[in-house]
Amino acid sequence: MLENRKKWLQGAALLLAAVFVLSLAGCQNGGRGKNPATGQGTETKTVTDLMGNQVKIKANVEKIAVVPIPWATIVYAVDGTGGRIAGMHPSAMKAYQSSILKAMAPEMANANSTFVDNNFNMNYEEVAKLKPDVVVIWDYQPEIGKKLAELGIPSVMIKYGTLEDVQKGIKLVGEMINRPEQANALIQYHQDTNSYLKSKESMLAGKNKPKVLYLRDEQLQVAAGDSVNRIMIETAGGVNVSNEGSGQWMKVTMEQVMAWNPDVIVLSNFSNVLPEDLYANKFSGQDWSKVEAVKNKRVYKAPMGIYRWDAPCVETPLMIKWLGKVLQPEVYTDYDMRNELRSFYQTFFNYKLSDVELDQILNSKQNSDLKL
Amino acid sequence: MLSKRQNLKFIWSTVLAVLLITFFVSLFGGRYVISPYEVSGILIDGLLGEAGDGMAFSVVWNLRLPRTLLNCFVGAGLAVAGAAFQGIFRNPLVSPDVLGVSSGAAFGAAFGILLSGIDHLATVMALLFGIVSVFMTYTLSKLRGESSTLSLVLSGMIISAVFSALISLIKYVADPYDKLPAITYWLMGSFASASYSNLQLVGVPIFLGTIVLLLLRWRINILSLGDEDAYSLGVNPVKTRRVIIIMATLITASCVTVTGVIGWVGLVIPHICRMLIGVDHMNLLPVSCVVGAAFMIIVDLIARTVTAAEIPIGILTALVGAPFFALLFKRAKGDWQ
Repeated sequence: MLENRKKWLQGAALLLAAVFVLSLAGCQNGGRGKNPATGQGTETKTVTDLMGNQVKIKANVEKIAVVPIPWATIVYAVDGTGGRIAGMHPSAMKAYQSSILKAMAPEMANANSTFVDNNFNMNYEEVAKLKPDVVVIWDYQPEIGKKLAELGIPSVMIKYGTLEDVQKGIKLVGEMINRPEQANALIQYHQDTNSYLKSKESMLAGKNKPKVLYLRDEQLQVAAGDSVNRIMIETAGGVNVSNEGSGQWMKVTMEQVMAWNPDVIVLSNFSNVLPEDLYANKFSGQDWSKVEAVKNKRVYKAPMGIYRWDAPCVETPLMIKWLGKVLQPEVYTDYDMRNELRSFYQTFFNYKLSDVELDQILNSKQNSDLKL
Repeated sequence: MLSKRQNLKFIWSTVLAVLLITFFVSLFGGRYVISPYEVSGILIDGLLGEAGDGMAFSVVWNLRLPRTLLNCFVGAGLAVAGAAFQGIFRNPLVSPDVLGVSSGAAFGAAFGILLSGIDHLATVMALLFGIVSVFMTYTLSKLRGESSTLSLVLSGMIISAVFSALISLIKYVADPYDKLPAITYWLMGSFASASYSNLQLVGVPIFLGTIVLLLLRWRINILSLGDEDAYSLGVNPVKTRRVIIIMATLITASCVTVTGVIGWVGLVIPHICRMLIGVDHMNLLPVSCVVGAAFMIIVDLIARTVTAAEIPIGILTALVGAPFFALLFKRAKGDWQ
């Protein structure tokens, strides 16, 4: 009995030792295999991220892991392909699966979406396995940047929230992947749209501006004073009703919504709420029937292109143009929404949109009254 | 010095008056400004069956009234369940969720939201898991071959811990853009979904449970003496305790189902009432109902009026309740046992 047990223990110890030694050898092999590659020094270059840090990265970046959710599509837009995107956030993957981007860039379906979790925590072993040439992280994640540096993986930090941040981000991506012309063309489109919108300011001045509620979900989270949605609405010629609050989104009461009594409601793509849900008064504890926008059937679902147009993204100029058609159609008569989209996708993504795809992007079924 | 009887009468008329006043203040106050005169007109119109068509009418009758009624039901239910539990467990630190009903229901709701968003599934799952968790606690406590209050409380802690961990797991895997905010808001509690239909849904079980607890209140007095004394007085403590646990679970699970987790009310309101009216459960239970309802109305009024953004009720019950309790705690000098 005792003998047996002793033998067994010995066996176990031997096995453990063997595993240990083998794994050590494995590590060394891995190390040796890697050294020449980095040692022979594939060429490097230095880029400046949006926080002003100088980051040394490979001259020819082939694999990028993207933590901030809308940024996978920014990389795609500048690159014209998703081939370099080695990893993206699980929520970005979810948005990708349900957007037109899936048809446009099937290669992105293989991107890793487990290296970062829903709370933006990094799984370092997964990142090490993925071996990206550079990781894009949020401005508030310097510790993650430090840890990645210990693994020998450079990271660039980005800021996010305003339309300028998006333009700076596009420029940074252009530098990272050596496609400055494409980046500049995109930025030019953003700036041209801005000047076009500015040129309408005098015409808008005399107009009656509708009160707009930007509704995120059935929890009554609405776009607040610091949100990009407020900027979009005001630029297009509306008044955001919920400016009292600070921050991006705030949860309000139905009574507050009724006190605001918006003329137009825009529904975000962060949830599945549809105009008919409000028309049918579907949600418990909410009474939409007396709200002006619902009475006049002026509830619209925001479009969703390669990403949700509710957040700042490469398509934000298009979003403001869409809002212009919704809020002030008699002011914005110089363009046709469908042509605008077709030429944007052709120019920047080299993709020809079909009518069905245009309907999908513009949520034409839900927004049939707009006739866009 | 008032006689005991007069004193009782005075306390009763005071708490009832407070409830009545808070009830009407709640109907008159809100983010949508309506003059008190207009509210009175709207209330009278509605009572006479003249359904108005305006926005103000809808605010008063479809938003404020069902919400205030739900405040009453939930506040009264949680307080009476807490008072009953503190009596039968002979422990002032006990609250209605001591047997795991809140964490069970919260897990059910979070799981439902994860699967299909906020809809009927989440409601049903919350109710189901609330009841299942207490059943598990009860079964676990009997594994030890006895049914003492201590083993019940310990089993409750075990079951709660498991469900809390499962809630964390669900929050961890939930999508940060759509599901996670819904779950987080739900866990902090809110009366935002109050409507006549969900008043009907949970009003019946809460009402039923409360009535049974009130009818059993003299037995709670006996149970609070300890099991041996109960036997000698001809009351079977195990059976009685079981009935009370079932009723309190029914109430708490129903509350949690529509409003999310609202802590503190079931713990503190019974204490406050004990300081007001003494330890006799004959008086304590009904007074807890009334004070619980009034407290909930006041706190929810704050939650929905102070800022344009709604403040989660679970945060406020603690922030309003704690200082108030501390004040009473100091003045009562700890002699409420």
